Amino acid sequence: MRFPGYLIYSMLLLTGTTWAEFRGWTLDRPNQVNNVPKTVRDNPGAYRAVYGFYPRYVGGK
Amino acid sequence: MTPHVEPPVAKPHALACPNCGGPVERRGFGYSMTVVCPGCLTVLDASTPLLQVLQKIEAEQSRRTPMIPLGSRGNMSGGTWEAIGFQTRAVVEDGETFEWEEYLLFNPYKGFRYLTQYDGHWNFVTPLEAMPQSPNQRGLFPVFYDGLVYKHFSGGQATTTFVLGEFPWRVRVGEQVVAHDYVNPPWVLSSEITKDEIAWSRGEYVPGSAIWKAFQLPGSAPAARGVYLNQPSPMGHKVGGMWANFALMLALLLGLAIAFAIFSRKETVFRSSYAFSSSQQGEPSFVTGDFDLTGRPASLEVAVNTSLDNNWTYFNFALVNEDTGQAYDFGREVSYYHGADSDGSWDEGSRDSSVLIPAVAPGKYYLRVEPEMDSGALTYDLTLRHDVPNYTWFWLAAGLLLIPPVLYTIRARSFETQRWMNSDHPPIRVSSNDGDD
Repeated sequence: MRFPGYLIYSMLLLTGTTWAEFRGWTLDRPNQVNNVPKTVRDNPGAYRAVYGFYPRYVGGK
Repeated sequence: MTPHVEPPVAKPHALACPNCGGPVERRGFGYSMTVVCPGCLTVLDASTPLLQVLQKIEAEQSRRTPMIPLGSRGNMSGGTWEAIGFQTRAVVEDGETFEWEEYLLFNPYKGFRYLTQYDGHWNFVTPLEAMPQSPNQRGLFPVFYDGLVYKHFSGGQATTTFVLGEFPWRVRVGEQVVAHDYVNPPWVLSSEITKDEIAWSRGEYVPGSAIWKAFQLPGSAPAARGVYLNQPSPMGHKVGGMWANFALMLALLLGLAIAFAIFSRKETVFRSSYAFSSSQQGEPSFVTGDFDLTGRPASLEVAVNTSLDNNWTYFNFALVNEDTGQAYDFGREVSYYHGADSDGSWDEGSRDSSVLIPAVAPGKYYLRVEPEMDSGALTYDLTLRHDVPNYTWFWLAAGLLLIPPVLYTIRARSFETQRWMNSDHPPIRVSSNDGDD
């Protein structure tokens, strides 16, 4: 291998990719809410979502 | 024990200059045709012991001092070479004078060689006995020699501007030849055309430090400036290797992607169909039934396939862990419009959409769904799949793998551009218009 620097760089990238894939990581980060009350199951309308994960857009030409 | 005996060192033969009476040394073993008096710079005929004057320099030339003192010996290219002559030559191009140095080297068994120097760039030059193939006196076409193709670099009329020492030809200040250079780094083929002959030589680029080491010169070689015509590119021959390595790594990455595509479980953990109408009364949100996620933490894909038609909807989702009460909040806009106008038919958006939730831990979950829309109705399918490969990482890695070879290629191209900008065939034409009009 004539490019040891590139080899190390590539191996780091491949290892990182494998690890991210194995762990199921994504680039998106949905909001996480702790301690959702059990009552949501019976009364889903009482739950208030925390917006911000995806922007809302109304399309149409 | 046999005593070590040093080989005899040839002593220069000294004569008197007929012009100034100063000593004139001869080192060329009778091969020299011309010798220059170091005192008055008169050019003398060295072919006879009389040392007839060939050229008197009336006005004192601007005297140059050779960096390699005449009489110095150095070991390089498989021989011991003595510097016996020194000349400078120049070409004038667009009103600008380019002057370089030439050192004549002599070895009684190997003959004559040259060292040339321009802006700190050195070449060890060997006269050629065989002519390159397809030499062209106009000097515009490639020539072939010893299995290599040499591209024409530049040509011009070279004038001798200063001489010192001995030469195997009748050297004169003011002597002119038409010179052409053809390059294939680290080699350069040079032709010198006079009305009587064409002489070819081949030079090999040598770092200044190697010259200094060979001749054991004091100090260090002057730093080379710019890119010389046959200077080897520091990355020229490595670009192909770098791209080969990139291809290898890309193949490995592709292999990884295929492995994940095959071995990811892509397990459908929930699937159901629903309907929604903006006009329906009551609470639009609802929760799905429970589903279990097993195995290691992995991504969860939430896919919606709708029956939208010229409409939009927005889904608020909450993936709730039944046991821990932890929830992932996310939403997805789905819109699909189509029609026709003066430009023809068009469509925009999609009826389907999906979200990939990262690293969802195993456990019992349910999904809260809250659809919204201004008007209309739709039916939709919800499909949840656990451990779905995320190819974004592979695209990202492929892009990052690409950066070093691209930068390498740009640097190599930049080096070659700098090289050829000094040639008669610059890759970029620079306008000489100075805007004085």
